Amino acid sequence: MLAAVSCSLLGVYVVFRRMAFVGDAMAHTALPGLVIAHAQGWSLFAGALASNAVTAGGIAALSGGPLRRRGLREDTAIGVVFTAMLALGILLMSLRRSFLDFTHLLFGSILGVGTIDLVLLGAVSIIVILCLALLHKELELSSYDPVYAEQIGIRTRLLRLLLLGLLALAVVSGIRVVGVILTSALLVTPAATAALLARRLLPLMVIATAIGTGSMFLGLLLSFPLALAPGACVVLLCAATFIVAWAWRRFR
Amino acid sequence: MFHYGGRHHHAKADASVALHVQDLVVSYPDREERALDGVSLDVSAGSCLALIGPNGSGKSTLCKSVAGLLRPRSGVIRIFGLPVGGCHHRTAYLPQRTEIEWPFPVDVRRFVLAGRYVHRGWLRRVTDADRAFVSGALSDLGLTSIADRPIGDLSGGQQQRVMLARALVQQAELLLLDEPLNAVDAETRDVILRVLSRLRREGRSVVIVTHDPDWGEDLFDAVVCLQAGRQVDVNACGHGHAGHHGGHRHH
Repeated sequence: MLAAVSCSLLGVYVVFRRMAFVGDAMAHTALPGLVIAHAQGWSLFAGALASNAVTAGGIAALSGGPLRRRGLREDTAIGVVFTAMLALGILLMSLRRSFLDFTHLLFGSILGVGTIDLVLLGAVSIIVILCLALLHKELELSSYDPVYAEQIGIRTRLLRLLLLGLLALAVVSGIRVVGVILTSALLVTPAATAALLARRLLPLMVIATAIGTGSMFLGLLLSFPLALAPGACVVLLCAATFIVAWAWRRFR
Repeated sequence: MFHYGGRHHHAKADASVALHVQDLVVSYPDREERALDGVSLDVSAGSCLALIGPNGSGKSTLCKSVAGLLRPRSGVIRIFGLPVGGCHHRTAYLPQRTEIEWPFPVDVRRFVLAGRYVHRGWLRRVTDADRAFVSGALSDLGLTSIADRPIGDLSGGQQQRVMLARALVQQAELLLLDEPLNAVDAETRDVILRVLSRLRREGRSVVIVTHDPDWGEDLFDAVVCLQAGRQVDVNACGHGHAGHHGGHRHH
């Protein structure tokens, strides 16, 4: 539920700032960190975060500076770095000779969440909510009119970096529940559904969070008695809500 | 400490010259030729300058440099005697409409309210007085009936008026308008012209980028023409402009 709050709230920015690709990349690049942390018995949370930091550094190095003039755009840089990190993760998994150990990394494992994880998930939610609330007007303005924001002295690059940092935190908390592969659905789908139902930022965030947490709750509730993969249930419920909202808009 | 840009607003150092530009050279990192090459001009307080010239001649580049969005390679820019960034709230730049992400979920009233943010800064909420400013500007520009509509629903002319409303509530003393009359409807044109003459009466200074200097002859105190980043003689420029665009743009 905590993971759903962080992801859904940020998801609104992800959708409207067209950052879905970055969000997806962040989820996948966490893999090598997760594998190493798992193998060594370290905190999965820290492993994933370290992994994302490496990716962010790689993307910044490739897309900024002299290479940009040669036409390497940011999405290209993300594509290169994220697939490389994903491949590294798979390589590390194959070194352990058993993919079975790692299925919960790929597909999530709600059952494995301990007390420390809960504290971390809660902390992430609080950080995300605080940052979004305190910087609401600046984040909103720099999303639809970065030129004006820059002109009145708001450092839009720093805000973007902050948003990416929050995204990294939220993605890592999402991975705990639905796994590396499906995490970007927690970001994108509730926000995309909300975008069909509201046209102002705050209501959008409320609706997205309601859909995200609702799907999380129902998905987990359904998955246990039916012995289904919890992460998949949650994501499918999000997608079902989207289809209902879309149909309602279409045939109203 | 809450001000954007980390700087306090300075007192006016020199009130008589709204904008002073001297030997300005600007170049983009990915291009060989200079976008602006040794441009010098002055806009005295309370006057209106038209900036004309063909596409790509550096008109928008000049506005962006003054607005602090581009860093000049060399030359001097002073706004009321202060360097760029010394007084964010005094300058308002209206970019061409394409620079804004119109589908973003925000309504007209909130969009215009952003013009007050520079007076508030980080962590501080807008006040009732700010909201009153916004209502005033919306009615001045004939936008009251669409105040609660998302900005994604607006026509081109309405978009232009919404941007002008935001610049008005900012209470900027120097306005940089980039093609405000480009492809707008007759109603918007009339509203914008009315607001411009009012701004002039109030002693605000205005720089207008336009393809067509004919529409506001009685409004402009001076005309500067740019061609390939250099200042050229206005008469020569007006001739070239007619040939370049083949006539008037507005309806």
